[in-house]
Amino acid sequence: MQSVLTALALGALYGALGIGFVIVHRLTGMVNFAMGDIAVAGAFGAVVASSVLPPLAAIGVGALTGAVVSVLMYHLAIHPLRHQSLMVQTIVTLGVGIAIRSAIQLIFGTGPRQFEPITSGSSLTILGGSIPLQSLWLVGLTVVGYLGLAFFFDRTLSGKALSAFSVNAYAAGVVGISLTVMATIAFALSGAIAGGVLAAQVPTSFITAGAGLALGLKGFIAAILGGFEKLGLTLVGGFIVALVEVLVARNVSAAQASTIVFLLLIVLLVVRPQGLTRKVAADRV
Amino acid sequence: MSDALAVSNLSFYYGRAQVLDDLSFTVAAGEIVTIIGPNGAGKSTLLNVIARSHRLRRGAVAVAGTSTSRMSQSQVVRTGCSLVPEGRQVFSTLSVADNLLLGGYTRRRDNTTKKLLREVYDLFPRLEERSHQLAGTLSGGEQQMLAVGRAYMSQPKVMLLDEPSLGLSPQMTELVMKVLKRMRDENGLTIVLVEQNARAALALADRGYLLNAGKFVLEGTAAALRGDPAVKHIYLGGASSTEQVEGPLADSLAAELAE
Ligand SMILES: Nc1ncnc2c1ncn2[C@@H]1O[C@H](COP(=O)(O)OP(=O)(O)OP(=O)(O)O)[C@@H](O)[C@H]1O
Ligand SMILES: [Mg+2]
Repeated sequence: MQSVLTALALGALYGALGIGFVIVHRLTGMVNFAMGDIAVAGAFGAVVASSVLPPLAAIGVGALTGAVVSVLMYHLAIHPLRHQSLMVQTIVTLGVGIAIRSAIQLIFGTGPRQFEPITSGSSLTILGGSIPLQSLWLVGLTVVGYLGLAFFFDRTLSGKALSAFSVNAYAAGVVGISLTVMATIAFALSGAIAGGVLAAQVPTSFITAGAGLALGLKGFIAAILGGFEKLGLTLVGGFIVALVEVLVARNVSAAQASTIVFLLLIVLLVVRPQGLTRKVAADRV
Repeated sequence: MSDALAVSNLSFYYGRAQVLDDLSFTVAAGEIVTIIGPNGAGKSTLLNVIARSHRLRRGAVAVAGTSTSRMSQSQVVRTGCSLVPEGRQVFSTLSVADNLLLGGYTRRRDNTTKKLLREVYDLFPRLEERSHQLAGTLSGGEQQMLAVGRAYMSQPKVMLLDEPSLGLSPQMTELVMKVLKRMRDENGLTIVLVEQNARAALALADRGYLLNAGKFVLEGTAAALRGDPAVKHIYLGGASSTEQVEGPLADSLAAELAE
């Protein structure tokens, strides 16, 4: 039970990052490997804000920072390359990730940072396991983010316009939907959910400048499990990744947990590229 | 009065291959003009350049007196020029209603969506019956209605249609053509109709152009084109095929088009 509860919080984080991957991929077809570093930028935004703002507002600032960094990345690095192949764009995201990581290290150093939880008091005990209250906030925030996004995509015209672009980009252009506008929205949303949720995790552990790469890859696995398409399944995928990680850490070796998760990634790509979905999405990843 | 659509000296290349060669033409407000021509003549390319799905590099386009030459695709739609693309291109995994709503995307702040939706459903009652169905599961004819309805939702002054009769039964083709006529007669819509089905197109249109290898080789009133021996010979076929083709232009044209 304890493993499940721990995995729940971690899984929400990976799931949120995975959703960040999916939103951008659905629209543009590319994989944004800077996702983890964008989230870390958001977390550091929250750390800075926490010195003057209460924790919940600081997390809001974290989401905003993630969104701004993500949008800047699109306009400075991806938009100028929009006529290049997806492969080129995807490789560029790796470079942008490194740039963001270096910039954060330059500003904040490599040491860990933290801020106060939203609710004081330690943990909630459920069925023999315990979960920090802050982790409940994290899970709640992820769920709210997910529901908000689901509402946005299914019920609002802008959300439908984003979906329309992934269904038929040519026709979306024909009805007057602008790719630049849609991509700006998609990058903002993906940066916001990843940055906000990671910021919510900071009080329970801590954040370092170099955390982005590993986080991003775990979010990437969650996105694969979601078929790079379904937001809900991506959350489930995040939970699965986290559960594997937690169980390995507990029963085998904490040091090797990440290695085994990445081995899982390779096996997954070979055996089941469509993730938890029924459709083969291999050609899209 | 300014023309609803004015195209001047428009050329287009795919890479180095020239597809459109210095085309100029105008369409008056409320006029229906058809562009007919063989496969590969450049008809779809022309409409896509006017609608700015393709970049406009050489030449100028104006919609209702406003130059759209420097505009983005969405600005062109907002200015009042909408394309009904070849092969319908509906959003297949979205519902009929969502397809229509997205057609009105550029008018989303105008508060006219409900009224326009009502008008589309009046023009095509079939779409209202199927409003919750996924567009990809509609029949070809219904998808064509949807493509026309979607363009209508942007309140265009000029509608560009690329082979709306493609793959449609004669009855369905007639239905679509009747709706086009109704949109012109009731709303003053200006229509540019690209067609393989010259018979249906010339029956509806006021004027027509014959496009071949990126150039207009013939133009005139629909009646004149219907009577033109070359057009008769190549496009209207059937009963007219036994008639004699005469005149130097007709001869060379017939030879050129027949190959
Ligand atoms: N994307 C493209 N790249 C290169 N050449 C193209 C492209 N699209 C069309 N062409 C070429 O441009 C020419 C004109 O094509 P276009 O589609 O405009 O013809 P069309 O008159 O619409 O023909 P159809 O009646 O078959 O639809 C053709 O020779 C075609 O092969
Ligand atoms: Mg064509």
